[in-house]
Amino acid sequence: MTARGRAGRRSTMALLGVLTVVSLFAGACTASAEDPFSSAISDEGDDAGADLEARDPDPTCSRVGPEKSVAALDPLPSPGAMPAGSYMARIADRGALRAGVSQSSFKFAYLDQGGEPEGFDIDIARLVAEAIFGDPDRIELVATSSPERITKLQGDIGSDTGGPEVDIVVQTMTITCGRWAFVNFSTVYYNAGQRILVREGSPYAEIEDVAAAGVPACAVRNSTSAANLGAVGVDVVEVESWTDCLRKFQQGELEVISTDDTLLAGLAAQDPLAEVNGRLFSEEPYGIATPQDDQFTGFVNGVLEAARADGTWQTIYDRWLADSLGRQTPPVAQYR
Amino acid sequence: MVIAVVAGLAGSFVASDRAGSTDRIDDEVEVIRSSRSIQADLARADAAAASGFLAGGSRAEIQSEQRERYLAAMADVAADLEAVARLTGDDELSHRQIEEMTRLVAEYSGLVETARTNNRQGFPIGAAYLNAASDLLTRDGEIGSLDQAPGLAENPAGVFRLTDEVANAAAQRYRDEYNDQQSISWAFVGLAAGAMVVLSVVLVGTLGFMAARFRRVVNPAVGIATVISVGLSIWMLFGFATHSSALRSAREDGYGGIRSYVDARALAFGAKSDEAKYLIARGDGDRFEARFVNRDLSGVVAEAAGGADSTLERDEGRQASDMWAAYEDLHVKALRAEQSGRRADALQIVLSSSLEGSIDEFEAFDLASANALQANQDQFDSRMSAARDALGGLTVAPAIGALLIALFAWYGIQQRIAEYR
Repeated sequence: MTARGRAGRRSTMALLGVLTVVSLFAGACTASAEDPFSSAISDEGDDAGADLEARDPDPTCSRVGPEKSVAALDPLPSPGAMPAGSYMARIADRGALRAGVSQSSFKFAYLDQGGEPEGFDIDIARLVAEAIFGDPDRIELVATSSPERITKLQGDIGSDTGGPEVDIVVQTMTITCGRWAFVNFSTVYYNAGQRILVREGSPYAEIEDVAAAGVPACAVRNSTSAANLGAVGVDVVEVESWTDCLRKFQQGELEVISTDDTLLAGLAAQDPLAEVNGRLFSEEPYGIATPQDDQFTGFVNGVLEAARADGTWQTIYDRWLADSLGRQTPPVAQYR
Repeated sequence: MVIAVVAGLAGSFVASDRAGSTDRIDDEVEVIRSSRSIQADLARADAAAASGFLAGGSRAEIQSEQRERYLAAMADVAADLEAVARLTGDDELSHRQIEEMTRLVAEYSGLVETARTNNRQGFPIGAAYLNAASDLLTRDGEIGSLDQAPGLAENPAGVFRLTDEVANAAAQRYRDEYNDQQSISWAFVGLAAGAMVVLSVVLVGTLGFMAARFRRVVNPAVGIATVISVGLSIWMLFGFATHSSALRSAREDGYGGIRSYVDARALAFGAKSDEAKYLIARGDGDRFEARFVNRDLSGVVAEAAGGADSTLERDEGRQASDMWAAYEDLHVKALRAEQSGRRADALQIVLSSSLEGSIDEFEAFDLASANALQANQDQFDSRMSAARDALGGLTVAPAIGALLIALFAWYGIQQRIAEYR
């Protein structure tokens, strides 16, 4: 084997190590309810050789809190005039923003009848494309599974070949300090959390009512939602997917479904007799993940800042979620 | 004369017993084939429902084509259910299970319609209804007993499990019937044929005795009785032997092939259905692909083809194996396309019959395996009709023959005695 070959092998091994750790993180920190792969991720984590030191969360994040992001670029460069040498300029040169998105979150990112992705997350991603190009359609939407949300952002951003596969990930992704160790996050663009879905006119207004009545709630097997329900004393009917919960709900087999409101919104939109009730009893702040380039993250924060200020965020929210989740205002941005 | 009557009656009794039993064997095999076909036809309907679902509104032509296939397959299921119910004799448990199957099939088609309606509105819950429908077919569970209807069990069995039960009960009856024929009736055959042989020997002896004693070359009446007796003996031995070997050949050559091809086809349609469900699940369908792989279809098809015992069966079997291999190559291509984010390409492969589309390959497999199944069915049918032909006439001939032998022998001997007096 040549020296070059060995070096190549070594860097491959190093990358594998990083990915292993990343998946460990994904398992440890993110087995969140919005994540249909959560159980798969934890399994992967259990099998992988652990490099425990790399599991340390990002120190700055630990000090200031996960929801504080880097300062927004001010002023925001005009579309088509990205600062030379910046990551935005590289995207502009390439001709399209590459965004990692889901394809299976109804109302957030879902393929419509014509096979085109649409939803709240998709529109948020298009805001960034519009800020760079002046055209929201200059975007390549890359179907990304939950475990890939971090791995696709890894790589040397200055490199032409080994760089990140996507520029941003907008995929119902909860901001955690564990993930800050591998990617940057924008300010919070949606404050998600676990709520309940019930039939219209149901006596269950809050999760406590469900617990008091001794009625079971439906959740996906091994999800964080199921664990949260157990913690508040609610029996859980476990199924394979969230739409299975809705099917059983529609067929009269159960009365309550409980998970992140973002998922419940997608379920409620498919059933005119269902409504999302109660307050959030867990917190899942969603952020846009970027490679660890503070200037680019600041740019994305600037885009979100503008969308909050000029009513664009509200328009997008109202379009996709207001019907199911009621009126909400944009989350307040917090900076380091 | 007593020997003649006993032998003749025994021969006729055995022959008519065997003819009835042959009909029952035919019925049992039809029950087995039909209940296996329920499985294959439901799997075919399910594959069409899933493909139509996957095609969705944006590929209206494929959707309506798959819809037609679904409806045609469901019509076949109804015909199969009717045949099974009609041919299953008085096995009460089987009838209960057939009723439960009928109920589940109705529930299945209801869920498929709900899936379709939701899909048309772009609601992802459609997939949950589709999967719930398939689950009614494939779920394991308790099959119930005579004391408890199958559907009332806490964890009731799906249609496939029930069809297995009904087919297995019929197979057991087939085995019993077959073994009875091969053992007990041989005793009767031995008795009847043996009596005929003894009778023939006695008659020949009588002829010889009379020729020597009365210096007549041949007593015509006793001669005729002897010829009838010898002829009947040969006919009975030959007929029963032919019948028995035709039954054995029907079992070994035809029936085995029918079973393996019906099973292989049910598995193949199930795999096709899983392929569509993997794509419908949009990244969350690993369990469907795992099931596709676990079915090990190439192995199953090769095994079915390996049981061929005629050039025609061998050719059809090889054709089916080749077609499955070609289809599986495209399946892997579609999988890779989906996994690397080229969903449009994956759909093109799975749903298109044009260049690089797998529909043609799957249909070619469908056709080839159906032909192979038919070749085995034809072989079975021809062996069964050979078995029936071998008994043709033997149900009445021994009785009539025995009567004639007795009459001629009595007449011949009486004539001699009269002359002697």
